[in-house]
Amino acid sequence: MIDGENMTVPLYWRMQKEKYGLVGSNITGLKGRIISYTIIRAAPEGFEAPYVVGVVLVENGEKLVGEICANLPDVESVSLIDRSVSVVFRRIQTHSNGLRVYGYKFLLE
Amino acid sequence: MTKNIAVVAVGQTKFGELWEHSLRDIVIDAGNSCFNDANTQMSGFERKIIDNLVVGNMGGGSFVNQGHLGPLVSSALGLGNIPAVRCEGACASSALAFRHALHTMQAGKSHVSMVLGVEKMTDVDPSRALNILMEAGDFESESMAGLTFAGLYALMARKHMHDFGTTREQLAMISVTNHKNGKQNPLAQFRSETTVDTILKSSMIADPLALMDCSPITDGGAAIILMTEDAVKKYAIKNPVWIAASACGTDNIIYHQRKSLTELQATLSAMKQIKEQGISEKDINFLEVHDCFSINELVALEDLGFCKKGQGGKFVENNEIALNGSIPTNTTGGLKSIGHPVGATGARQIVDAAKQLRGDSINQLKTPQNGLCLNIGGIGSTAVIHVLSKNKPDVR
Repeated sequence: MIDGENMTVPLYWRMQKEKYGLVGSNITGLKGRIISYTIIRAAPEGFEAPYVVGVVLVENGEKLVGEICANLPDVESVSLIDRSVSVVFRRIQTHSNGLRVYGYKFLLE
Repeated sequence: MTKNIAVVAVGQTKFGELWEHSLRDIVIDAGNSCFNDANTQMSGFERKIIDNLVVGNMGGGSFVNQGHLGPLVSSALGLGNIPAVRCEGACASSALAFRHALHTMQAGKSHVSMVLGVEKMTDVDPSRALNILMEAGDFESESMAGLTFAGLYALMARKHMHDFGTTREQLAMISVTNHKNGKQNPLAQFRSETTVDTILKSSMIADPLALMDCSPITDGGAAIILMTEDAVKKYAIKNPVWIAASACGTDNIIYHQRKSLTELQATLSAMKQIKEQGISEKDINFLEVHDCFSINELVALEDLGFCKKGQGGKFVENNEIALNGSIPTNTTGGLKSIGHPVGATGARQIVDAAKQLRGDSINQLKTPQNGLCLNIGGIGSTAVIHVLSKNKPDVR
């Protein structure tokens, strides 16, 4: 069971406007800079390790956390701190009940 | 202290993967361990003198489908129909429970209170346990980004290494020290010494934190009986340990939104409150700090004022935290070696600090007067500090 699967769709649906940028304010396309990051190798339910998660200072002054889309060997060999990223809209999870959860990720520039 | 309160009896179960034991079994074991200790501290102890119970537990509902732990524990221990409540503050649950009992007693509503911390974590798959532990973080941002608690503390470690030059070797020395101390502890989950090399070569969990930088998933319980000064006299307690100061700080539960990723404002706030109660780090002879991940012990040493921000790595490297160092830390093994049943850890820290001050620790220091316990909930969203003392404080 993915965490949140036993909860109803509105848990995700009500965050559309503020979080996913589907309606109203749109954060996708914003640029940012990586402050810190890790490679998750022991994943919680609903995620498949390994993947990179980072804290990004976005140009509007906010700090966001999310997955950094990157090749693992590159991440293991060079520090990503201070690297530039852009915010992109992506699917985060698909639950076994068919619910697709969307959100943002970061693309290395 | 506005009214003197003492720890008069302590107890703890074996910590580990207790496959044969249910949450209720662990409660009974912890309670009986504490009652046995009470029988050594006073003559004619009877559990009916306990008039108040506070339970520390983080995830009974998620780990074993069991909530409402106040009455569960009071009935399991045969405490009768006394007031009983559960405190939840993630991994700081039982230090908060201890603080709640202290306040109830200072308010004159209890003369003899019991605090019991318990967690049963191994009845779920490890990946499910990671999800449950993330209930201590922010679900909508951190959990949905795929972060784990190891991942959150890895963000802290990476930033600390980048900003201050802290090394993985220095972090590993914290685990080495804790394992060395825990080797003597019959109740510890891991009683083996380890080396920096072993830690560096252990599998990565969340870079730069490897398996041996992380405390384990653990079942266990710890219990404490507290008395007012009047009750200590009435029952002629042999070796009371006094509560010299108590404090709690909190911070934004969303870690990445905080101003700093390398210091915990909750700890700074709590330590400031401790100083306002007349105690500084110079008065402390030993520490029990929250090494759920090695970086957290290092940051605690800095935030509590034992070394400057950024100097934690060097401080550890200089062996200052060893049993013969300037500030012996986690003298019985810490979370890394003893184990980390999340809702029980804060109580376990107080149990071991009280034993150290009574003179019956497994790694006894030479005549310590004051010990400080720092119990952290989440990634520093809650910080609870208690200073225990061999000496009765002046009532203000």
